[in-house]
Amino acid sequence: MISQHNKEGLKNPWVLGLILFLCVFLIMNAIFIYLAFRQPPNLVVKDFYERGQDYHVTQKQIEREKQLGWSGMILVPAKIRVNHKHNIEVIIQGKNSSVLTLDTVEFHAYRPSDSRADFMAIMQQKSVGNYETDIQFSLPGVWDVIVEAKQGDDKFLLTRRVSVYP
Amino acid sequence: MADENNSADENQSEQVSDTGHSWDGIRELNNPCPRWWLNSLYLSGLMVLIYLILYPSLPLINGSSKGLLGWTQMTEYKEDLAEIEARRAPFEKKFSAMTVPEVLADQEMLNYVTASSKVLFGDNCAACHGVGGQAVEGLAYPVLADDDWLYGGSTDQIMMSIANGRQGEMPAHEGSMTNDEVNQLTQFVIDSSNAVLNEAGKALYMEQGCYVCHGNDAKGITEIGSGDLTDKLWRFSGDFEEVRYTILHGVNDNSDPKTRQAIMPQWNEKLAVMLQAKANAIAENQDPRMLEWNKVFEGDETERLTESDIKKLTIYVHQLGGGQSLSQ
Repeated sequence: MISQHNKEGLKNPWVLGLILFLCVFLIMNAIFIYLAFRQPPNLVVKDFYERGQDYHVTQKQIEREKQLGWSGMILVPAKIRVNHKHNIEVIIQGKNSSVLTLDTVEFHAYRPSDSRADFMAIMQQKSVGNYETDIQFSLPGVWDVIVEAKQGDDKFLLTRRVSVYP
Repeated sequence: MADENNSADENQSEQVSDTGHSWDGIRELNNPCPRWWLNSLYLSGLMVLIYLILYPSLPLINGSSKGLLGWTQMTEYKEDLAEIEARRAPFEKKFSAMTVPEVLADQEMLNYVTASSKVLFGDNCAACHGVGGQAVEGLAYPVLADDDWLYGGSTDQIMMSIANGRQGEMPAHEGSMTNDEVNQLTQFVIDSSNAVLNEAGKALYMEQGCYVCHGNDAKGITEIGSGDLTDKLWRFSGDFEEVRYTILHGVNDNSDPKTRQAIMPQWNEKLAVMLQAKANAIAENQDPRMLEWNKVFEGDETERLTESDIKKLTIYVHQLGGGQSLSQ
């Protein structure tokens, strides 16, 4: 007679199959959790909580940047090829077309899917309001370019997404 | 009432057949799933099986199973891209063989160029000139939508402005004029824009040599991109203090750290040289088609926009301003 007291069920292949499936499921979960810790996809920053707390600081910084009235643009070649040296220029000007004397202008390239490929370069002044640097991208595909200009405590960011061809 | 319902349920369950199993006195009723539901379940399983066979799905040690169809997101993307390019190809082929005036006269091509230039303009021009070529609040860049052109509004002149870039110069006058003179000249500029006669100001304008760049009539000189002082369109601002500032510190005068900055970048150096050579050949009554471009320009050209892109943008920008005559 079939009953909850009947232990014969453990010999049933369907029951054994279910137990096996459960074990595989749990093992796979354990592997995924292990890999997630071992090989993080770099999409989450370590100090995310602190950054979240600093959100209002970032907001104030953006508002301050807008009030500065600085403007400019990043000039990139029409076709960027991987592992080729390219000249990148930026033009930056102050409020109402005034000239800025910047302390530093930094070029940052971010690889959205792999932070290990990120790099930066210091841009040199070419002429008034015009800065340049020679760089080469190591991987084809999409890159996010951010140019950060600083003058004292004032900071200004220019962004552009570029495609790098093989 | 509740008791009546319970007894009705019990009567109903008595009528349902069971499997013969009894779990500690509880009968296992034989209530098969509806046929339609079971069929759907089997069909779903079959679809999963078909999907596993046809598409990449099973994770393996090196990558995943490829599937019989060999489908990938990348191949689909490439096919879509090829389809778009195939649709564009006849237009692009026709466009490359046409001159700018010919495109402007062909409504179908004009529609195509206008549509495809919007993205180009947004990516490369809108940051300074605004999405529709209108002034961006707080930024002092030339307005492209007012049909007032510092360097000329013909398609040839616009193309040259894009290819070669523009960087006009106005010297600073802080050290060469007194405060009164600067104020008087500022007032003259504002009066001129309002069509108000200012004899003393005009005399000072001539005396200081402003006419060399802005012309005797103060209407500006297209060749050097000097501003027309007699209209109400301002490159920077029409406020008294702002006009005064421009006179004091000039534009792109590196000797004055307070000078105004006005740089239109160069987008295609090679094309700029070719256009200039063509203009020179025409001026000297030569046939520009006979020029050997490789000898005209040698070196590492700056190419931030291709020749085709600049041709499209020329047409787009020309229309933004309303469209002056095609050549001047």
